[in-house]
Amino acid sequence: MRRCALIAILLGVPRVGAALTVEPNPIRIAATFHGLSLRVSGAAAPGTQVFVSISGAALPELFNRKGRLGPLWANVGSVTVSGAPHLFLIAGITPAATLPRALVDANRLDLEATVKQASLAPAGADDELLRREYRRLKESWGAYRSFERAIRVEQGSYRGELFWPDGAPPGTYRVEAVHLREGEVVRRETAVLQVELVGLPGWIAHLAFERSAIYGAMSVVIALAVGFLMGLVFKKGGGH
Amino acid sequence: MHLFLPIAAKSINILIPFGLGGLVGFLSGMFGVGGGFLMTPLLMLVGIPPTVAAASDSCQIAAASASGTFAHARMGNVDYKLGGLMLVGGIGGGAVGVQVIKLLRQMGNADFLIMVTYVVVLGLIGAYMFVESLSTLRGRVHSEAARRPSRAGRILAALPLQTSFPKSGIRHSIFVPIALCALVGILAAIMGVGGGFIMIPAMVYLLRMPMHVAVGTDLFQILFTATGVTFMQASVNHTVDFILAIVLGLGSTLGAQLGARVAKRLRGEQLRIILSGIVLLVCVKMVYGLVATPTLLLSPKGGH
Repeated sequence: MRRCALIAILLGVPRVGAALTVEPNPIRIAATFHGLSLRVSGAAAPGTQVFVSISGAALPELFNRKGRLGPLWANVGSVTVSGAPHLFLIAGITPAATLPRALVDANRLDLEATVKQASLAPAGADDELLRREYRRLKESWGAYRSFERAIRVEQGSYRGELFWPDGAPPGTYRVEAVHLREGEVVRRETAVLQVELVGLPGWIAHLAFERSAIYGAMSVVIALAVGFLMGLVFKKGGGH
Repeated sequence: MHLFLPIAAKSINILIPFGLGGLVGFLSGMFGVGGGFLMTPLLMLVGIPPTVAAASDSCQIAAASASGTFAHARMGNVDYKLGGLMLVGGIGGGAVGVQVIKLLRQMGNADFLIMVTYVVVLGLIGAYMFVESLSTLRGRVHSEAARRPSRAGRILAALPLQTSFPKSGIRHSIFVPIALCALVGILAAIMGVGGGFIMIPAMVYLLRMPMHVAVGTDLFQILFTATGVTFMQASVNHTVDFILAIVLGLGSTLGAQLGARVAKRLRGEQLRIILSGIVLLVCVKMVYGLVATPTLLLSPKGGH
């Protein structure tokens, strides 16, 4: 038994009862970061279906809304979307469409279930259409994404991979694993994922938000210096 | 090579903003336009949030106009006296324009009004420039009728505080460039982009400045306005992405130098007909944007 446990540790197989793990955690965004594969793993009883989601905070987001004005399209107002996470990634052992809709909605096991929770202000008759548009916009940014059949359950554990988009802002994200058996939730576990800026991006973001006057002056001085230096380079290069 | 843009919160291949900067800088150096009309939508197309695109664009305009002004100043194309007066009018006009836009937004449908105003103004200017420069290229403007001062010219000549602008070879009341730039500043603020596309034709056709001096002088005043906007956007709105702006700036300053050299090899009317072609293309693109069904009905609030 001890030998089996040792082999499992060496192979990186989570032990039965091991907590939900996300790697890497924290995600460190440095100068050349352009997204990464996140590995999720944990323990799962044989025969269970596991879905792992990662969600950002549900902060209100303000959008322009396009509509028809006679034959033309224009911004006809604004709409605030609240109650939906700004980022939502979900990976499942099977497509959520194979599960009862009520179960998917109650446990937010797909993108549709997530946007259903969004409330719109001002509310109107076309809220459903705008929720779909919100989802399509988020999908186009890579902030909402579904990874079907990306989780495998074997030998008492589950593991899978999700792609973390480069556009996700730093902050705290909630990771949740939902275990299903015969159409019922049998276990739910959560973890916290931290995303932070480091190195040059971290320094610039700190300067921009904490020392904004210095940041403004620096932006102007360097922009002008680049312009004038390029002018000098061309002059020395024998320009007219 | 990818670089992470900390304010835009996006990773981008460095060659993309460098190339975009080069293209827009080339136009800037060639025609004296800031390029905001082109750069912001292009940046949004590659996934930069609108507010960050607009603010970082103002930073690269500062860099490109510094480079362009430097190049034009060496060629003797900057009328500093006129440029200074224009700057006074432009700043005043911009401040009035910001208030006008606030009023329009309170009345509702402001964006639609702005877009339609933009299309109409660009369409009229583009068409007029195109016809005029085509006529000049065909040698039709050397008639006596064309040389006679127009009624507008006579009115301008009757205004007080007339002064000469030797670099431009013109004589006007000091109120003329100030009022003109105030008007352009108002329009530019309402339409949400720099006024280069209106300013250059106004300087050439209303003030009767030579095209090359108009380009150099306009770049000179853009340098100051873009600098002010960059500082405000960076320090108040925190929307200038420094890394993006530097890469754009490197591309655009290089482009601006090349643009200024190409411009020097072309005659004024040749430059005007190319510029009018671009203005008309932008106009057509905007009309298409108004008529075609959008891919998405929602867009993030902010930006131009």
